[in-house]
Amino acid sequence: MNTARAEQIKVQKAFIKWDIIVYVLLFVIIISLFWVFRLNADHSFLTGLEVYYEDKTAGEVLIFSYDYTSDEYRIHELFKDKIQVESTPDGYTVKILYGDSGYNLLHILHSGEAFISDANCSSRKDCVGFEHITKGNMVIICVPHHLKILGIGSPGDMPEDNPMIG
Amino acid sequence: MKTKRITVLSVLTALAMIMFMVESLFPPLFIPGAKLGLSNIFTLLALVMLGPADALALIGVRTILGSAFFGGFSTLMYSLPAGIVSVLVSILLLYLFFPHISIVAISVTAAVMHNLTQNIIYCVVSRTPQMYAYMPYLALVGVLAGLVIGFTARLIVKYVPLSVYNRK
Repeated sequence: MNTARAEQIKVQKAFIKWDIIVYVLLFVIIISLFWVFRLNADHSFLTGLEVYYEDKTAGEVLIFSYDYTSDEYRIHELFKDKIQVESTPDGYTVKILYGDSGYNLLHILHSGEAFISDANCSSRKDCVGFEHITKGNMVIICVPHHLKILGIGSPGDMPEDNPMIG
Repeated sequence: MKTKRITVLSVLTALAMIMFMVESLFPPLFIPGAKLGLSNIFTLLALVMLGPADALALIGVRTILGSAFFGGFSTLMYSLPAGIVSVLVSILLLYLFFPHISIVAISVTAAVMHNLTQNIIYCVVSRTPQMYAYMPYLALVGVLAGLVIGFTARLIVKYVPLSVYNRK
């Protein structure tokens, strides 16, 4: 055991002079990450949703898709009894079943939003904590239930910006 | 002395496992998948009190057992490389720059690198580049995690007598 080092830690302060270099470097890294992945991110207008299931043998399977413009959804044939769609006043509630008793509750709102409100994947329920999908290229993931919900966008297709519509 | 060392390392590993289990019961911190990784208090202790090999052994055993009990192979694939990277970063900083930089600064850097590595591996393995959007926030959570872990490890080194680790 390194007694000398332990003795040094005992007397050392929590913040010392040269720490500032470490923290400045980390600050620069974090600012760059915000700049690259948030400010310059390609977030296009949300036109649809795709739900993928990561199958052990078949790989990634598109099991459900929804088109905001035509208000239509499609369910993969093999998953017809695994996906229950219920119409609500402001959109759809999609219950996606997993295994014997697993489920994720996906809400699709006509206002151009999608999110998972509840699941029994784990005590942590990471999928519920994701940012709501409001733009293309946004994603919600449920690792325990092998689900990926992807926002589909069409770049430059913002109706608000287009004077020819309406 | 060898027996003592193995015993201390085993106790630290067991403490890390317990911390990992307890923490996995709590909801994620601010963003999906994020947590403080409090079990790394003991990884850091193993590194400063015992040595690099001990810290690597601890992180290996902890991630493999942790995934076996709570995750599965996919969890291991993300957590093991991230754990090893963060321990390697700590080793480098400790041996190159300590005592010119503090144990807290080492802990913060290691935690940030851990989160970034885990996110990159996840995005690549699951072919989900959209998840890179969470990188800046994961780095911020890493700073918070590193501060908590660093301060706690420092307190333990400060107040737990050295005789606990090494019979004299």
